[in-house]
Amino acid sequence: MLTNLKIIVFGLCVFASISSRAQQKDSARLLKEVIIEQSRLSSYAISQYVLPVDSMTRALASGGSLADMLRKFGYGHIRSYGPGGLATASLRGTGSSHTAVLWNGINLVSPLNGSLDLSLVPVSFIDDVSIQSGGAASLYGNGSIGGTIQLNNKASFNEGLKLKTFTNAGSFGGFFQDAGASWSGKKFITSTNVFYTAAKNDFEFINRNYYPAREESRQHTGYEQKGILQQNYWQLTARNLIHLKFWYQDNLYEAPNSSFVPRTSEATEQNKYFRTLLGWSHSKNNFDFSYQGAFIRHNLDYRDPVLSLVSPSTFNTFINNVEANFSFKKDVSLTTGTNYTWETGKVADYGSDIPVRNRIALVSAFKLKPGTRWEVSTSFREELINGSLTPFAPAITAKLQVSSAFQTYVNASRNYRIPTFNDLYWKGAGGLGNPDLKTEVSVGGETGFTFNTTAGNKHSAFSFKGAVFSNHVDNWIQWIPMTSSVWSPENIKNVWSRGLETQAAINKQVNKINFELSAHYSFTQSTNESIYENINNNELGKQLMFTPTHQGSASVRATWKGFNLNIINNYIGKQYTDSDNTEINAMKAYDIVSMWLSKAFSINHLKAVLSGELNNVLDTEYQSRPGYPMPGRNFKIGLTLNFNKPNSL
Amino acid sequence: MKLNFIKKVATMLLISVVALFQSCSSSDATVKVGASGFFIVNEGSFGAGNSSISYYDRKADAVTNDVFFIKNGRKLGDQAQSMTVFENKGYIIVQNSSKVEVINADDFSSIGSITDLPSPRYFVGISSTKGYVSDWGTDGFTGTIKVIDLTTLTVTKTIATGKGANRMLKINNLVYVTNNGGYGNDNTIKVIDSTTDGIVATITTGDNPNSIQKDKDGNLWVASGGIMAYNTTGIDEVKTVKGSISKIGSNNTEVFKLIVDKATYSTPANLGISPDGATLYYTYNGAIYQMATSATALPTTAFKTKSYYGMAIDSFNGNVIGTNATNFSSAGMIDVYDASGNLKSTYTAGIGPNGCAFK
Repeated sequence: MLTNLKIIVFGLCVFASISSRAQQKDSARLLKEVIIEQSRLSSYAISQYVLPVDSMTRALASGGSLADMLRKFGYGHIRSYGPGGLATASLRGTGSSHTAVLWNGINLVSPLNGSLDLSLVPVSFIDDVSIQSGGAASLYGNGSIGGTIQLNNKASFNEGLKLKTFTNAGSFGGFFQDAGASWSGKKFITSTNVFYTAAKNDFEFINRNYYPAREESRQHTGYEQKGILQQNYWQLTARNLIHLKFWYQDNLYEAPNSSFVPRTSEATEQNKYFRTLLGWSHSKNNFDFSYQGAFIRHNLDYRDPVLSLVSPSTFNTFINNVEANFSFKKDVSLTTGTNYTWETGKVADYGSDIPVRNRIALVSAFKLKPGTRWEVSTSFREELINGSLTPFAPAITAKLQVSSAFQTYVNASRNYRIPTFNDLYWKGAGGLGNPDLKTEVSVGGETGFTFNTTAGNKHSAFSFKGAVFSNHVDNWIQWIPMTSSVWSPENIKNVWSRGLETQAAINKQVNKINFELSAHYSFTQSTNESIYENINNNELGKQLMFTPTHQGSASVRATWKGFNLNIINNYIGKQYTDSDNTEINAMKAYDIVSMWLSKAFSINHLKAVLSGELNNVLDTEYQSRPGYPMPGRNFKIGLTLNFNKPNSL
Repeated sequence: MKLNFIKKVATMLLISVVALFQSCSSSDATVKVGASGFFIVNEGSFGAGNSSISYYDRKADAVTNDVFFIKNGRKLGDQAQSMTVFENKGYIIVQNSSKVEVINADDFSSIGSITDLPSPRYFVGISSTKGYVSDWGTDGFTGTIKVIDLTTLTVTKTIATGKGANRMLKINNLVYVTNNGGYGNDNTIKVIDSTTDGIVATITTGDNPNSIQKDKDGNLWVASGGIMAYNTTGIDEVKTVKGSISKIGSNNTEVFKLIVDKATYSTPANLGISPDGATLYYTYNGAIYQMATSATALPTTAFKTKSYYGMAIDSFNGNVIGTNATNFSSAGMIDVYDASGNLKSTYTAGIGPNGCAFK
């Protein structure tokens, strides 16, 4: 009986973003005790298209990085340099610096390059992942133009002692070990998680850059990562909660040469970062107040002994959020707050410049439920950076509950991204930053619907949702050759992305086997709308590089008596690798099938899960970008042990 | 007597016929280089493996792109640096792919490839069985000449030259190698006797010599890039060593060095010469400059104020071909000017065109 209930929970999480009343009741009950400490502002995103990452998906992907998870399960489009290499998300046809990545509400994106390497985020350190398509800079701030990835940690009081360990090993020298211990009392929680992972990634591939093509194995492309996440929550009084988090990680990556280059690389990239977050929240009836202060220090040390090159870079960020939330009756809520961010970067190629930015943002959001069917929300953000104002970023959205099963929404927003330190201050051979760059601005909107039915039976559900969007990004910063040898960034590009996103899921229980079929598909046209001096006119109206027009996935999941089978087929359409879309240089579409099989056992307080994973089942030959092949068929096996000794009541 | 006369006439006829034949064959042998057309080397965007070769057919007055791919069904590789046609074979240097692809210059079919080259730059043919390839070395400092056996397409010998061995010029049995510094700095030209593969002379020039030409009077001209230095605002005007154009006399010593007026991001490069050997061309500071070989000072006004990634002088008619790499992410173009600077035509090439090869 208990197992059955859990199965339903897994199933329902998929529909978490679909607010059928019955399910809302369920999730409210389930999430009652859970603390998620992030900005309250995300509750004003009442109508965004969300790619749901359910807890089962997260569990299946917990032996890898966030980049691996998003790629394997087809969430958004991940641009990467192969296993372990730099990976960034491109949501709704935008660039790698157009996705804000927030950890418990704190923006982790580097001020140096405007992105976060998703291969450096272990899934096991994150309890809750959500990918929101569409820009929402009014709520999430700088860089939320294509979408936002939210990474949250969760905790619950009074759960007793929990110990967990997860071991995973597989092809190409892959190994992953995570271990955690937590103690949760009535007023205090402390938890510590550590992980270590390494892989050689010396997989074989067919190098078609030679004639005749020859089989080779990838060289110098291994990685080693280790980290610790320490979290504490303290319920000071009934009204005051304090939390303190600490995250340290050390990542060594052997940067390989592309397969065009016959010699083996010796370059290494070492990322060490330290993130700490202190939060305090105070609640009183219809008012609550919160403060978050975060300090991030990130060191990147790039070395290439062949070129006698040592290139260190560091950034420090100090982020402060203060927020006040008011709710008047049940139907009106208001959040207003301010963010102060101090950021600085030290990079050898900035010469003697050590840029510092002081950023103060004012944000307000308002939500209203006029009547029983409507919900309206509006928000804005205005940021002052070293004394100059960024473009005003407002958003407005409305949602209509047409029937218990059907709702529709519309929203419009103006979003922004400020230039990176590299864009502004780079000086050195080959590149010259441009201190006069303007902030990128996007204006867009979307409309969509969700339809969902439980068909009068808790064991059967159907959901369907879709959205169409249109988004113009102006002043898009592009590095262009200033002379034959020196490149410099300009606010020169104008991009129009528009498209369709849709997903459907059926959940049905047949003879104690719970089946879940789900699929999503996206159509994205993201085209260059600007022609500037000394550019090939043929680029006008062409699809951006590394942006597939078609993308989709289909998955089947079956759960029975602790067994779980998960099969996913992930399709990435053709991607152009040049700006005038020549077919010769295009990367072919590919279709990757992966499957997971696991069995859960329970013995008293101990729960064990034995799992197997088979990736690229059909041994499809594909590349993540030209010269960066991806592995053929490969496997992993894993064992998870969870021990929970509840507090004696 | 009469017989003698007839004999004489016959002999004369014979001679004239032979002469006619000879003149025919000799005119065949001196068909001007580039008469049928030329190749355009498209470097591609670095790391993306999208370099390509285009061919301009003079009779059709049209450019065909991707001729290597079309003929051979595979891509060329990453970063095509240069191409040289020698004895009707095209030697295409694909630097980041560490190889030279050899093609039939008439039908573009692949003949083979030379590997074992760390970071090759340019090719010069020595004899039917021997060629030289300049190479930067994987570190970008260890410049060498790789001696190639053209029958087996293998490296037979390595001659150390200087940092960043770059463009070469062959005069009789001597090969002049410009050492442009690679990732470092150098200020020499090494002279190699191609019969012995030994270095016979070292010429000191301006810092980082990158290209070399011989004029009608037998003088050598060298373009040198200088040494860039940066400060917080960009170029450090004080520490930067400006580029120069040097004239080298027949005794391998510098006659004079003409230093450019500004420290700029685009330094003197792509030195070319008109087919009659009387006019030099080079790129500098976002423009093409033209200069008579009789000049003793640098021109103060540009021949064409437009930034070109590469430049070549059409050896058939003396036209000036500027290769416009635009943004290196879509097809670039070539602009063809006559010697008076009139734009004759513009053709679309491949990604990142950097130069031409004449056959």
